[in-house]
Amino acid sequence: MNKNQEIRKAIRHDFAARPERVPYHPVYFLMVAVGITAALWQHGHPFYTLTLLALVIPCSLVAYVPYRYFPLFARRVMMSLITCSALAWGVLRLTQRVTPDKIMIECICLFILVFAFSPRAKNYGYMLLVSVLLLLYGALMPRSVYLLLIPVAFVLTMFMIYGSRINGLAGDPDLKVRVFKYNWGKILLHLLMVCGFWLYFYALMPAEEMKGEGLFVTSFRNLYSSYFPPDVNEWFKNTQRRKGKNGPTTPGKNPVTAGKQGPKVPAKSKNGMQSSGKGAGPPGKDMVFRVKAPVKLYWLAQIYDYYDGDTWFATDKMTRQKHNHKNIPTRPLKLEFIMEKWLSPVLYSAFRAEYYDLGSIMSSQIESNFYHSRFKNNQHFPAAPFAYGVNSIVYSEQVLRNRKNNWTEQLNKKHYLQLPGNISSRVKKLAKDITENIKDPYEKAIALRNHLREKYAYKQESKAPPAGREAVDFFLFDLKEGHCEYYASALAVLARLNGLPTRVATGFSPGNYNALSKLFEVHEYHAHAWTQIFFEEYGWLTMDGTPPGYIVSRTTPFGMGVLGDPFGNEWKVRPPELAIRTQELATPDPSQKTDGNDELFADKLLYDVVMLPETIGKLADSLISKLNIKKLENFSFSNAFRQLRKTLENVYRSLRNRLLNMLDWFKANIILGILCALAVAMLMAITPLIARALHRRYEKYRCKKWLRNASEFHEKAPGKAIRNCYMATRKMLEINGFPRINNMDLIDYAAQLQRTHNELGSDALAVFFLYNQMEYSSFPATPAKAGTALKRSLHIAEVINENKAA
Amino acid sequence: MIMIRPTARGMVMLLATAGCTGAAFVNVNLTTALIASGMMAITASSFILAFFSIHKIDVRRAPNRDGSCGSAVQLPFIISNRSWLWRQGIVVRERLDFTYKYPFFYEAVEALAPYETRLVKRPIPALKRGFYMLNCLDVMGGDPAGFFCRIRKFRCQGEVMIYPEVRDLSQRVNFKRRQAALSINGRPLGITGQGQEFFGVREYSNYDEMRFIHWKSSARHGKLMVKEFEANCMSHIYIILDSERKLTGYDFFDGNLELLIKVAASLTTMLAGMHSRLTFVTANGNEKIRFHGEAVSICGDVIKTLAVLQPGKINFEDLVDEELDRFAYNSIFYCLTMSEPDYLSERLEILIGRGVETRWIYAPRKLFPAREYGSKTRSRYADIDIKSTGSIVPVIANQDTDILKLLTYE
Repeated sequence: MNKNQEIRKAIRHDFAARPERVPYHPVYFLMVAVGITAALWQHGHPFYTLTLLALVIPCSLVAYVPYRYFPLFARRVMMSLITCSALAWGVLRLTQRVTPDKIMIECICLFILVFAFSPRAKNYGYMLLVSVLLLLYGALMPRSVYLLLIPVAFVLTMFMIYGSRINGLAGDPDLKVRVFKYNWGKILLHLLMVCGFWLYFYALMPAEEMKGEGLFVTSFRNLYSSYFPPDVNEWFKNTQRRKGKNGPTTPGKNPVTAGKQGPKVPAKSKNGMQSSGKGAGPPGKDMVFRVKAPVKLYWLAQIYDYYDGDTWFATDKMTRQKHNHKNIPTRPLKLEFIMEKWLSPVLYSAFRAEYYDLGSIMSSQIESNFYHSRFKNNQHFPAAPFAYGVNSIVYSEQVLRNRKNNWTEQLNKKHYLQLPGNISSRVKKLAKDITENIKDPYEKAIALRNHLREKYAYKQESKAPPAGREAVDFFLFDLKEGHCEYYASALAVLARLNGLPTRVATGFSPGNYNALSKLFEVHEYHAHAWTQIFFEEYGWLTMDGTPPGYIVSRTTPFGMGVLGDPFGNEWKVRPPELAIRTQELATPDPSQKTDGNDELFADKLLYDVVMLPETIGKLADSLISKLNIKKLENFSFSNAFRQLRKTLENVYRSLRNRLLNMLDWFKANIILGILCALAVAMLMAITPLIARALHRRYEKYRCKKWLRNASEFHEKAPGKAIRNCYMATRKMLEINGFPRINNMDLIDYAAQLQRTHNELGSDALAVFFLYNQMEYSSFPATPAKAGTALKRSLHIAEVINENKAA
Repeated sequence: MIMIRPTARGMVMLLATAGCTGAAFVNVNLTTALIASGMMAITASSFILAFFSIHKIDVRRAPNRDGSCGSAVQLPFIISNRSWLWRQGIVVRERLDFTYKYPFFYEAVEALAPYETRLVKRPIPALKRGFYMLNCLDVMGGDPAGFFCRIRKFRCQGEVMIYPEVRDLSQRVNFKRRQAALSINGRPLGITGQGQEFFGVREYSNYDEMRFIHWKSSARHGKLMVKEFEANCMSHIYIILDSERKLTGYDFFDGNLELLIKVAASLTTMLAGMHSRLTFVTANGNEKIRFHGEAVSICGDVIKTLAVLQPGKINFEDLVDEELDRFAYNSIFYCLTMSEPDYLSERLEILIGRGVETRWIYAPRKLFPAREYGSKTRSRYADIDIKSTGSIVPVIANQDTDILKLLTYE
C-alpha cells in the first residue's frame, strides 16, 4: 500500500486521524522562524518578512488539526496556493529589479511553509534542511541580529540532530529510541569538543578577501560599499531609496554616480591650529567616514610645523617640499575610505599617503602635497557617500634599522626644532627633568608622553590662555587640564626642547571598529590632535599625549565584537606605527605573494595567546637578571620564544602561500578547477564499479573456459573434467549471489541451496558429490560421471541465465 | 580497523561545511567566519567521536523459530557491552529478504549500561515466504550527532523458514459432498473400491474399475453390473496448483501465485484438522511434486513445499493430465490456476462426469499488478475476458480478494 492509500485508510478508520508528526514538532517550526529571520531580516522586503514570520505560528498548528476539519484535499490546495504565491512574488520582485539571490531567498522562505501542510513525516527533514540553508545564507550579511540568532539556531539544530541520531545512522525515520536520558554524557562531550574546535577554527578563519562582484550581482556586501543600514528603521526606508530618478541602485557597487555633486568646497579657513582651540572637534555624532584598513592608525588631515607661542601653522616651505623616497623598501598599506560627510576638503589617509585612487574624480580637481591630497577651493565635493582608495606608507623598523640616514624630507631636521622665543624657562626645565638620565630619543619621547598622560587631566572644554601668555606654559603649570590640542602642543614643545624633530598633526583618531563590517567608523567626536616625532630608526611616529582613556575607540557590536577585533589596545601603549601587526604588514617580504594586507592574527585573543610565551620569557629574563644567575647570563627566554614563534610563523606562511597559490590557480581557472574536481569525484565513484564489472566479466570468462575444457576432454581426462566442472559451478554460484560460507561442507552447501533454489541445489549437489567422489574415494572418475557433471554444470549456467532474464 | 563513513546527513553536513568555508574565504566577515568555523567544529568533533562508537560491543544470534507470512517472526539477538562506560544507542541491521524494509531491517538498541548483556527480541513482520539463510548482523554506531557511522559485521549464521499465510477456514468452507448416486433399487451408491462392506450390485458407470464388474449379475441382467460397497465417509480433496513462471504476477509480495499458495496452505491446514484424504500436486521449479495421503500426515510436507515453491516451466495441463485418471468419485477438486486455458474445460467436464466437484479459482496476472503502480491499474472484472467453459465458471481472484470469500463456495 503506498503512502496515499495508507493515509486514506487511516482517515476512513480513524475519525480523528491527523497528519504524521515527529517528536519535537514545534522545534522544527522554531527553526523555520530562525531561518527566515536570518535570511530576510534587514535584507528582504520588510513587510513581507514580518508577514512570513507571523504565518509560521498558524502553519505550525495545522498538523494538529484532524482531517475531518481540514481534509487532505484542502491541504493540497493550500500547498498549491503557497507555491503559486511564491512564484508570483518572485515575478513581482523581478519587475522591481531586485537581485536574483534575494528573489530566490524570498521565494524559498515562503515555499518552506508548504511543508506545514504536508501529511508526511519525511518532510520534516527537508524543512530542517531548508531552514539551515537559510541560516547559512544569512551569514553572508553581517548584522547584529544574526549574532543573536546564532546561539538560538545552534541550540535548536543540535537538539534536533541529537534527538534524531538513530534515524540518521539507520536512514530509517521509523526507529524510536530515547536519546537524551542515557546519552547525555556523550552529548556533553560532543558539545565541549565542538566549542573547543570552534575557537580553534575561528582563529584560523580570515583570509584575503576576494575582490570584484563575482559571477553575478548579489545583494550582499562586497568590498566597495557598506550597504546595510545600522538601524532597523533604515530597513523600512531602504526600499524607497531604490526608487530614485536614476533607477534602483544595485547594492554593492560604488555609490557615486557620474555627474553628481555635493556642496562647494569652502574657502580656506585660517591656516593654523590654536593650542587653545576647541578640544576633540565639535561634539557631533554624525559619521564622517568609514575606513577599511588592515591596521589601526590615526587619520591625518593636516600637519603643522611652525609655532608662534599660541598657534601652530603649516608653512609653505613644509607643505610644498618634495619627498625623497631614497629607495627605502616599503609595502604600501591599502586603505579604502567611504566619505559620509564632508567636513573639510582633505582626503584623509594615514601618514603618509602616496597614491590615491579617486575613481571618476579628475586630477585637476585636487591638489596634493607630500603627505595628502585635497580638493581645490573652486571645486564641488562629490556627493556623499563617496569612496576612494589610498596607499599609505609606514616604514618598517627592520628596514630603517639597516640604513644609515632615513631622513627623506627636503627640509632640514632643524626646521622641526623651531620654537618661539617666549617659551618659559620652567617649561625648558621641565623638559630636561622628565628626560634626565634617558639617552635614547625614543625613550625620551615616551617619557614625555607618559608624563603628560599621567600628570594632567583631560577636559573637553578648557580655558584659553590669557592674551599674550604662552599656551604651553599656561597648560603645564596653571591650567593642568585641557583638551587634545593642549596635549599635542605641549608634547611638541617638550619634544623640541629635547632636540627631537616634532610637528603637530590634526585629523581623527582611529574611530570605532565594527567587527561585523570590518570597517573603522569615524564620527565627528573622533576629531583629534596629536604629535609626530621623528626617530632615525622608526621614521615619523604618532605620539599622542592625550590620556588614552579619553579617546573614544569602541569595538562594535558590543560583546561579540571582541571576537572579530584583531587590533586590541596596543595602539594606545605603543605608537600605532610600531604595533606588531602594523610592522608585520609594512615589512616588505619578497617571498610573500600577497599585497601587504595579510592578516596574520585574525584575532586579538589568538595574538595574546601566541605572545604569551614571549611575555613569560621576558618575565623570566628579568627574574634571572634580578637573581643574577650567571649560568643563564647569555641566554634569553624571550629571544628563544621569539625565534620559535618566527619559525612557526614561517611554516604557517609557507603553508598559507601554497594554499593561496592553489586558490590563485582556482581563481584563474575556476571553471577548469570545478571540472577537475567533478572529474575526480566521478572517477572515484565509477572506478570501483568498473573494477567490479571487469572482475565479474573475467570470472565469467573463466567459468566458460572451464566448461569448455571440460567438454573437450571429459572422455580423455574425466577427473580433470569433473574438477573443472566443480570449479565452474562454485564460481558461477559465487558470482551470482550464492556464496558458500567459509568451511561449510559441500554437501551441506548444496542442500542449503536446494531449500531456496531447488533446481540449482539439485544440480550443485550432483556436481559436488561427483567431485568429492573423484577426489576422496577410490572410485575412479569415468567419462560417464564426467558427462553427468558437465551436464549438470551447464544446466546450472542455463538456470542462472534464465533467472537473470526473468 | 573499521572504516568510518558519512551517513546521508553526514554527506549533507560535509557539503555544507565545504560550501560555508568557501563562502567564508570569499565573503570575509564575522558571521561567515563563525558559521564556517562552527560547521567545521561540528564535523571534526563528530568525526573524532565516531571512532569510539562501537568499541567493545558484541552481538550474537539467539535461537529463533520459524514464522509465517502476515505475522511477526522473532529473530532475537544478544548484545553485550564489555566496557565500563555507558554506551550510546546503536542500530543493528540485517539483510532480510522477506520483510517490507527490504533489503535491510534495522533494530534500534537503547543505550547499554556498563557490562550489560541484553536480549533483543526483534519481531519482524514477514511478508514473503521462503527459506532464508541468515548471515551477518551489522552493528552500526556513530557520533552523537549521527553524521558518521561505523559498521561492524558479526558473522552469525542462522536460518529461518517463513511459511505461507494460513487463514482459518474452519467455519466457512463447505466440504459436504453431493448426494451419493442411487442404485437401481434406490439405494445410495458408494465410491467403488473404497468401502469394505459388499451389499449388492448396481449398474456400471464409466468411472468404475473393471475388476469390480460382477459377471454373473451382468449376464443375468444383460448389461454390465458392478459390486456395490458401503460409501466411505472420508472426504477426498484434490488440490492442483498452477506454478507456471510466465503466468505469475509482478508484485513482490502480493502476486497471483502467492494468493494461490495462501489458498492451498489454508486449505491444507484446515483439512489436517479433519478426517480427510488429500492429494496435492504442483510443480516446484521444473520438478513435479505430488503428495497423497491423509491430510494430517502430509500437511507438514505440503506446507514446507509451499513455503519454498518456485515457479517453473511445467504447465498446468501436464499436472492435470497426470492426475486425471486418479480422481475418485465424489471427491472435491480445487483447481488453482493463473490462466484459463482451453483444454481445462474438457478436463473439468470429464471430472464432473465422474462425480468430482470442481472448485476453480482463477487468479489472472492482470489483476495483480505491482503495488507501486497500484492506484493507476485498479483491477476490474470487466477487463478480464472469461471464456466459455461450459458449466464451470471460475471464481476470479484479484489483489484485494479475501481468501475467505474466495473459498466460501456452495
